[in-house]
Amino acid sequence: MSKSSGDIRRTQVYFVSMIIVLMLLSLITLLQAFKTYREKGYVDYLSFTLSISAITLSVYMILQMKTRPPKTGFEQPEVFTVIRCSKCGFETTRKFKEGDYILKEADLCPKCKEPTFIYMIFRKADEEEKKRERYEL
Amino acid sequence: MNIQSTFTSQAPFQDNIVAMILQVLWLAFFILYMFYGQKIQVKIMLKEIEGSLFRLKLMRDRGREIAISTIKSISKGNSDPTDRIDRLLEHVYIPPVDLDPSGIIRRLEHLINVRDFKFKEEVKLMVPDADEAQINNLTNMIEAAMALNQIYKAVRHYYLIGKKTSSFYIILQLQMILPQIMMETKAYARALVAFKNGQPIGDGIGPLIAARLMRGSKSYEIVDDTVVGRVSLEGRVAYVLKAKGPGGNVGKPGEAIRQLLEEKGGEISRIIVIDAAQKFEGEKPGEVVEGTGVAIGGPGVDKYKVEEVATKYKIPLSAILVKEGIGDVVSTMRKEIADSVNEVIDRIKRIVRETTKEGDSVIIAGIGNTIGIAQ
Repeated sequence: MSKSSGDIRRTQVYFVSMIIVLMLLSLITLLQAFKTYREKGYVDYLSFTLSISAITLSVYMILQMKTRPPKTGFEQPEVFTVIRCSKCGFETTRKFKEGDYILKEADLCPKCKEPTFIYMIFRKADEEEKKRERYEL
Repeated sequence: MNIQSTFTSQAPFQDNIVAMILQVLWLAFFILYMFYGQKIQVKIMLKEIEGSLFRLKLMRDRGREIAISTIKSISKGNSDPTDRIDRLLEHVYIPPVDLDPSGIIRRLEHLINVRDFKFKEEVKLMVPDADEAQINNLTNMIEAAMALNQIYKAVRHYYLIGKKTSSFYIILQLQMILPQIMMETKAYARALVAFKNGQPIGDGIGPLIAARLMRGSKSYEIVDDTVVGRVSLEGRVAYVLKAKGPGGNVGKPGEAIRQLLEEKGGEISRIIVIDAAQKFEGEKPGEVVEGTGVAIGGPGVDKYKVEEVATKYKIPLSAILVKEGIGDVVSTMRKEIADSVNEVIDRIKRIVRETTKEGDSVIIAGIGNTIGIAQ
């Protein structure tokens, strides 16, 4: 059903080699244009423009390839479990463990040795989410 | 020869050539754009949709993989659930006919019950040793994977129709709605992760508040998957109800409230419904607002039942809503939403004090999916 990692790697290799070839050709053209200018004093605008555009495009493509893929939502969020003592209200927070649920009985309170329970389970919103929610108006 | 002289000596000739080329290019561009502008635009839009469609496909496949691997790990590899899951992902729900709306709620309820039962039975067949909470969580997880599959197929359908007909308007509509579709798909992907781990989700704020109020009291199952606890609140008797947790489940709050009211002969002073509500962009997640009416989402069966019975006994209805973004409702509960619990409880107490007398009875219903929340 899904594209295998082998296919993705092959596509990447193909793209990188294309970019390298494009960059090499552009550099050669640019050098040739410089050489012509130094030797004959003639400015080949077309070669200059094309080679600089191609180099810019190659750099852009490399930068695009380096950017991290956008989040799909399957990333495991950082989830915390708050445990509270039924008697003294002492609270501890730890990372969520499989099998945790709210109102589940937990260990004895380290302070008063009374039973504790899971008071809350939550995740902290990531920076991207918070950034999207900042409004001036 | 310096650069200055180079430019001045060759300028007239080169200027003419460059100007001519530019003019021809502009003319060609103008003519091309006049005749093929829309076609070029369609191609660009199709390319953009194609990118999103590829992401949707990746998400659909990942969802399916997670569903299969989770079930395999719970069943300890006793059987291969791939075929059954693939069949479930393609399952179609056919809503009741609405040409004659008379009795549609009854028919809708029946179909929903049959569908829920079928899903749970299928999960039980795949993981016979799983407990009730696990079966509920896995059912929810498969439903999230199913939603990812349905979204992908719908987008692909319109993409292919647009491509086949080259219809600018079909493609335009799809492109316009795509950012929202992507947001919803991401929310379903997050839901799948939360259901897999059994973590409370944003929609569980209602059951969470009910669980806080019920804690320490004896509760009983009034109808299938819905529990009620009798607690004392501000000198009044409060019947607090929520879906039965900690498995992923929304219960039958409509039927539970109807039965409670019938049992008490309508001797209830107020019904307070707590639920998560979609926030407007710009509102903060976890913001609490009050309203009048039955705050129950979904297909409408429960909402209808509460409205019917409340009207029959002339019972006032209050709603307390916790605002959440589209991505927060089905993903693991955010801290901002969890932090609203105390404010909601304060508001419940204030409403009870201001609108009822001491010794009266009220119903407090926490609506939503109770995954990761017991009672």
